[in-house]
Amino acid sequence: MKNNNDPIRQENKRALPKFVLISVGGMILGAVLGVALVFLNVENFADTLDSAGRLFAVHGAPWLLMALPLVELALCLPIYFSAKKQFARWDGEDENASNEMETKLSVCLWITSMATILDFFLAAAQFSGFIEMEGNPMRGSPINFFGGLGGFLVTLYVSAVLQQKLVDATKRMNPEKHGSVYDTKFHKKWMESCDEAERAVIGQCAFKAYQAMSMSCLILWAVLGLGGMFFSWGFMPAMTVCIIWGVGQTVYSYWCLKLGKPGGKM
Amino acid sequence: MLRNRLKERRAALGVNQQELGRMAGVSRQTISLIERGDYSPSVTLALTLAKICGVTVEDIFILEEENDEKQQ
Repeated sequence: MKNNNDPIRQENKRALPKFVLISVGGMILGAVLGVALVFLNVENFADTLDSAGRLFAVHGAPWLLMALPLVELALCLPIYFSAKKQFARWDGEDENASNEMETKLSVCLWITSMATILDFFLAAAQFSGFIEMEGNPMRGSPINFFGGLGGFLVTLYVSAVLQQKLVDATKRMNPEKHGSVYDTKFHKKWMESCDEAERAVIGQCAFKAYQAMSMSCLILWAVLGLGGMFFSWGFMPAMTVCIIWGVGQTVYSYWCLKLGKPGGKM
Repeated sequence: MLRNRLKERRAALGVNQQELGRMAGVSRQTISLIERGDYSPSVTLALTLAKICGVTVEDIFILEEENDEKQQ
């Protein structure tokens, strides 16, 4: 028998109007955008975008790849050396100083991670321009291509070395931490050397990342899936996004089930 | 809400955060988080810290009810 005073039903009732409003609003916005794209003759825009993409792949990406390791070093080294100097002067007690040093090392680690991702993106962009037909004026020079490839490899090397330095600096500040960046089981060993509070922080950060990933996948699907009506990129991009989305959801659900069982412990 | 006097007890012991963390088997950051009130330790860690400081858990950690806070 349905109970109208059931708190679960009441909570759903309270949240439902906003959910319906957002869903209907999204549908109306999508319809308006779709009609607008048809009237704006977006096929011409798609051709322009395609040409711009090829130009970037053949001429832009190689140069950016060659510049990337220098930019990464220019951004990270001053911060790293500043943290290192601060650590040499640190008395082991000053909390503000230790927070500052940890912030600097974290910022550097973020820069190296983003540089690696950008490196992979630019390399993929360059590879996509490789299959241009011969005689096409858009085709880039082999020097550019191999220069870009070299930049890709150098950035990977620079990122690995920088991350090793940053992790080593973190370990000097926190001697209980274990794990080498070059170890394939680095994340496992590092996690094992983290205590309860650090694991709680990692857990919260991971959940925020999971939420951001899920939202990003939804937005990307909307752009890539619906954009397939106007651009000639097929369904592969949308499929890739759905695979990533599915992996994230499955891993999350699997660990929720596993940790919920008796004896479940990370 | 959980308040604590860990900083006072640590000062009485004459150790810094890193040393106390080593004695308790946790990191300096965790000691710092607890002292700031940003992290509530597990029962195991609370008992360990109390044992190191030579006092009871209640001498370090005080549970305040919301009503007590409002009256204050």
